[in-house]
Amino acid sequence: MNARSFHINYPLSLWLAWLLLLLLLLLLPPLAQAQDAVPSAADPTLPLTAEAMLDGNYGPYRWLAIRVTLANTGPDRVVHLRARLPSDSPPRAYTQQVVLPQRSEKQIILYLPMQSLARIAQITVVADSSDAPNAPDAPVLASTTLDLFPRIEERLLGIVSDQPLTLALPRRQDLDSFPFVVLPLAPADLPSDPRGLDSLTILLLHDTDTRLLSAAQQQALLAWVARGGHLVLGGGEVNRATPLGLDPALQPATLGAEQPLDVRPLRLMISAPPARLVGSTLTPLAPTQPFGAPEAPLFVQRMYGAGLVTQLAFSPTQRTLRAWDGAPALWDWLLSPARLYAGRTGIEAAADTLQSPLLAQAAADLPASVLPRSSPVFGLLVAYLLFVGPVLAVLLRRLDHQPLTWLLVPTLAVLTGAGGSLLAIQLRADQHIISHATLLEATSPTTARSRTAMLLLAPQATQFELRQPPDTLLRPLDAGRVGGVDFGSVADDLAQQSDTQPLTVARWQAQGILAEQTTPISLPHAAIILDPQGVRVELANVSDQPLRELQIRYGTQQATLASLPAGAQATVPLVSSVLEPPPAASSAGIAALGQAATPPEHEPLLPPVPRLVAVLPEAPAPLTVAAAAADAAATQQRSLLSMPVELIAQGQVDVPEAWFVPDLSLSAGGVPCTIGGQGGLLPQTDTLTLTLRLPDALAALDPVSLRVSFQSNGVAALDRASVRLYDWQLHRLQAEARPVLPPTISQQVAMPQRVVQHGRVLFVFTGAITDLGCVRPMLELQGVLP
Amino acid sequence: MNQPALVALLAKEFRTQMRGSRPAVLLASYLALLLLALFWLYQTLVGQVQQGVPLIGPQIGQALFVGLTLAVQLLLVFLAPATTLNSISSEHERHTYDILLATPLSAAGMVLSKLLVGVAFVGLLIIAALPLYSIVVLFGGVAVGDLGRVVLTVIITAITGCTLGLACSVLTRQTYTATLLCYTVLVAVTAGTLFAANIWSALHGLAAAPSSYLVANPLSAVASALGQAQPPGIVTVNALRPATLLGLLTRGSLNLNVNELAPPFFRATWLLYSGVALSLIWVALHTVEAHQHRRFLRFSRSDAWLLGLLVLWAMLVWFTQAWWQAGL
Repeated sequence: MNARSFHINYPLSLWLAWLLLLLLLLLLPPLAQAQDAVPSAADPTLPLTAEAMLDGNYGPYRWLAIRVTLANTGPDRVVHLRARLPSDSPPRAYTQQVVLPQRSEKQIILYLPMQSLARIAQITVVADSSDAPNAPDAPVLASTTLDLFPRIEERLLGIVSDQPLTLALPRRQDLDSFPFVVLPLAPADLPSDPRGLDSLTILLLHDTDTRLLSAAQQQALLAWVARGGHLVLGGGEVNRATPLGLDPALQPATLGAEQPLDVRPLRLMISAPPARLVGSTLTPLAPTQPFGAPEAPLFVQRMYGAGLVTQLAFSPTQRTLRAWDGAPALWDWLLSPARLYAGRTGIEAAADTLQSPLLAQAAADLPASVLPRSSPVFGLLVAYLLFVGPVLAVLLRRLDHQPLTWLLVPTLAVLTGAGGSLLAIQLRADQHIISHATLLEATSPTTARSRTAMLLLAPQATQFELRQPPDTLLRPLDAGRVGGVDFGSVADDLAQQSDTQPLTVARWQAQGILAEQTTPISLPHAAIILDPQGVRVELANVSDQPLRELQIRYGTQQATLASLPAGAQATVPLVSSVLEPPPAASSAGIAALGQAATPPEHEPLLPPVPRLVAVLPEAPAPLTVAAAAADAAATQQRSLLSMPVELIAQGQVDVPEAWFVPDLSLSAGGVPCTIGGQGGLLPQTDTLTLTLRLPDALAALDPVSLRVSFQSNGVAALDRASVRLYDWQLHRLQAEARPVLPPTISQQVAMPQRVVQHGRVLFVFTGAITDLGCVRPMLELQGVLP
Repeated sequence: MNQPALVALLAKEFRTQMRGSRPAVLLASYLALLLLALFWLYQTLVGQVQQGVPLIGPQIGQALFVGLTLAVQLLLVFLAPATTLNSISSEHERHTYDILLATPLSAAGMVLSKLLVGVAFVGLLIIAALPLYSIVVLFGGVAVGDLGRVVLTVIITAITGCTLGLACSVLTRQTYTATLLCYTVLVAVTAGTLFAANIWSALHGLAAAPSSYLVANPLSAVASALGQAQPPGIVTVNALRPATLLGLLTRGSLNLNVNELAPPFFRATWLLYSGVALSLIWVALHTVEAHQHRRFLRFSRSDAWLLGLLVLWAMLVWFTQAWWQAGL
């Protein structure tokens, strides 16, 4: 090859090389794209099964537990489990990291907050990637979908029974509201976290040995009842072991030998009681509210927290009950929600949807801004102005070096700018706002359900890192304007069983998140005492921190105390809140938390819960922000404790009139109303049945004297109405009709023992009662308690 | 280009620019006005806080940043052309123009040295104002990116202003006429476009005017660049007047929803102003060269350079369409 041919050939080879390179470059993007577009085939070494608890039935805004079983027949691996609702906007997933050793199988519970009325949940397993573990385009290794069923204004009745149990429940079409959805549960399926029971309205335990339940399952039951669940325990010989494993607070009575039950009291609800009903002798454990003959009640009830426990004397499966026409009405009456609230999606059996916006409102009460000292920086700027302006000009003119201005002014500007900025950074104002509002609701003597609304606000788009105990569940707060602050929607995936959570906050868009967990707590001792000396509240703060702004509320009565130091005791009188309004809360945030602690009921089905609310200066925060961001933030933490107060009555007592509340389950012909700050009924027909009921603690009261007067809006119609009292011993109305007299005139009731039974007094109004307006009997009752 | 002559001319221009008390008075007055505006705004905001309006630090910082930047831009819009308005016309008036043309210095060297001195003085004013932003640092809320975007807008506007002054000076040969022409254009661009946008808005139910009405407006451009540092409407509008001013400048209507971000049409303004500045330099350069060679239609090497630059600019505009059209 000569030099000429070399010169000719070389460019050709070069051209070929260039051509190949070009082809490669042209092919690279499609190849890369093709790699991205590879469909994520299911990994056969990772079989996935998922099951929505309660068969996928859920109440809106409740937690839905999903049990996922994941096996690994391949090598050791770490995966991410993601559950999401396609209807969520913006789309977000609830994730959990799962470590799967070789040839292992794990069962994982994921919780989904049902913010939207979703009908499908998607469960996917994605490969763990250290770069972006929750990236939506991470390769999917396995996936499945679950059908869900939203239940609005329906009664979700869970039945735990070792044997199949069929109840003669009312049909859906026969009920005006709250039809039943029956969910059979195996004892092993009872969740060990109260959030797994969240959607249930009523839980019936029958023919099962609760001693076989785990301690966590028993604690979950206790917490679920405290939060408003209705637990029903079957009776009869078959249920002898049913209550034995439960917490003593969930055992209202002891079961004795079987005997025929007196069914006549059932006439109050059902016109034709069953011919015969056999059941155990219930020996009530105070404080409880029996129903039926004192020696052999049909059932006993006990309030626990916001919930209710009903223990039946009879077995729900006995033949006479199944054959009885009135059984559906009896179950409709017995298996009713403990409490009802006018929530966001209608009438709901829990107050959670009422509480969430109030918690957000409490967090949106932003901390007061503290302005930094600006005078040093302004002083520096004034000095700079003087020096750069007249001083420098005069100086340079004298020196005849005016062109040096070109050099000196920028130098001085840079030096002053740097110095001023350093000074400003030292004195700088807080850049972010972090506001917590925590409501701690006692669920047992040593634990509380903690719900914290956290608000984060930043002037620029910022990513915060939150720290949390692993059992904390996070859910987004609803977007919208709350308390003058615009809340954005959380778009980040929310991690479960993880101690960190990244959270992206857009500029000037408050980001709200709600953290929920069960936390141990040292509760103060609080009791309302009724004895021959009168009514008072006794308090003992056994915790290691002071309590502030204490309020003990019971119906329309209250006691207040500014503060109770750690280790201190106090006694305060219980007074009418109508006559003495409570002092204003120290801040709008505390006021909002106070409202969240005592949400108004739609129709009070049960007597009010005596409740203590107090501000805790230092409450355990389930969420903290990583130090770097927290240091530059104005942080505020508000915590309110809410706990039920024990009611103790003893000796000869004058029962406060306000303690009688309408018992709507034994009332008919009227709708609830309020008169003089107390509950009454507004007649809707010619006959009104109105039962007044005392709290459980006074159910055993032996009445000595009873005087009755009537409070009514329609005073002019009083002389056209009459009233009769129900005789509990004879199971019929008294023969003599009394005139309904104005409140200034009270009538003595002869033989009060016959008209007051288990703390209940039943009135039947007749005549021209529709003109009465809201009516309420006022009772002056004296009696003796064991 | 004769380099020693250019250096000598530049040195002379830089020396004469600082001669006398005028630059010092101008610098001191400019800084004093800015500091007064800043202090007044600060007092207004603090007064709001003391009256119970829940303002937080970064909100105050952003309001001060917006207010101070608008004040800087307003002053520079009118000061920048003034630095070059008499650069050529004064040579005519002093009858030194022909002498200058007779020197070995090229026309391009002469024009660019005049422009450079003007731009340098405006740069000095911009740098001198930077320490005032330390009060913004005190309250925070402003990212480095916000500052960079805004400073770049101010610099591009200032350079365009300097080229406008230079072109007017070259074209009219009289400082008085140049001043009249230059400020007529400025008032038309600032007040005129805003007025037109307001009229459009008034005729369309106070809806936001199209950004194309305001893209040439230097105040609207900086207001648009300030959009990312806009304080929120968590508080009452009265407390944050600069924020409402942003709405007026970027939408042609008083938008009370200050949470709505201003459209980012400042990108289009950057490109528009850079094109205008290149064109004005070309006009000034070509005119001076035409005087020098007594031939107006002569296509010189400078023309070729500027034509090349304008072609590059056009390509830049073409290839970045998606970027700058996003704000329109």
